[in-house]
Amino acid sequence: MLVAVMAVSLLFPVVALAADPTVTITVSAVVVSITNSQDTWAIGPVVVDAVVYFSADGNADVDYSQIENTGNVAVDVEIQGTDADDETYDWTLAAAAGDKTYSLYANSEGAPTVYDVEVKSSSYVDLTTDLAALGAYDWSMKFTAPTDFDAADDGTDKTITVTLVASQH
Amino acid sequence: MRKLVLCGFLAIALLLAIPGCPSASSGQVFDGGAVSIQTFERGLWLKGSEVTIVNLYPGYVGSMEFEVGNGIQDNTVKEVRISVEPEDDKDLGDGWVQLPSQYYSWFSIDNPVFTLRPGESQKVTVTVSMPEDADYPNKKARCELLVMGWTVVGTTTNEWGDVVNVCGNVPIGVASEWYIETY
Repeated sequence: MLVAVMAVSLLFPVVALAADPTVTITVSAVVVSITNSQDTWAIGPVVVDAVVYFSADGNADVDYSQIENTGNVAVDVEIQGTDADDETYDWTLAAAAGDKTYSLYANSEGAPTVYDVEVKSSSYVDLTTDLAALGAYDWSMKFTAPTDFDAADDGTDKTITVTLVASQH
Repeated sequence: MRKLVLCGFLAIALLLAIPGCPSASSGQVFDGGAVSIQTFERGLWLKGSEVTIVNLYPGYVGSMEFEVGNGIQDNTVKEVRISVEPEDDKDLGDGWVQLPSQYYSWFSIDNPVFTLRPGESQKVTVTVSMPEDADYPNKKARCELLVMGWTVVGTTTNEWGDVVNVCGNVPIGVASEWYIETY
């Protein structure tokens, strides 16, 4: 019997396995929350070189929309745009309007006549940082149409999406 | 001269108000599912603004839970889309790098698209599953969970006959910033 047990032990030697490390996952209970008072912008028909502001009538109104921090922590709010897309004849978003290229700028608070935040399609950019809980931020945008575009654009609808994202400061 | 002619006759309708919501894969109006009523009164909110994962090793499987809600006072329906995205902070912090995008597949979201009526919230589970053959040891990497809320302004029927949400074109999002240290 002893011989049999020893034989089994030799066949199945005990190997000390390395223990897996302890994984720690921590999810904070902090709530990030924002509102933005204007969730739609209908620019309407435009011609070349047209300038349209994010407001009720298309004219400059820097306080048109308001972001509120409704969470319980200070946040940074970033903004990103897209090309003007109609699936055939896109207008590219760039720093300056040009041929089939449009530009989009947002205003930073405290500079009501200066639209100095370039909205990009390639990345998010800061719109406001360290916005305190219960704090508010008034903002608007300035759209400049291309300096030229194809006759094929006549009457076509294009879609631009402007995204605001808040994260904990 | 050509430009003048264009100015005179071309009117490009930039009808930004009514793009379809980005839930193109199904495009359906989602019934909220297992939602609950919360007391956060305003805004699109995310509980779980920051996550740290320490000692993540190949073969590990675990999960974490978040909660997403839509403020009752806003009186708007939100189509919510959730995804793992690059961390867009310019300053990632000393020693931290962007998590390479090929590793986003380590994270699966149980319910990445849903609709919330005013005052509703929904729990979201994210499963972390690092493959056995993953070769990414001793790294400090960052990414984020991005929760986008698109205000539903109506519905329409698409070319396949599905009823789809029509959303505003200035959506808001809230992000959970993730700090991942691999073993």
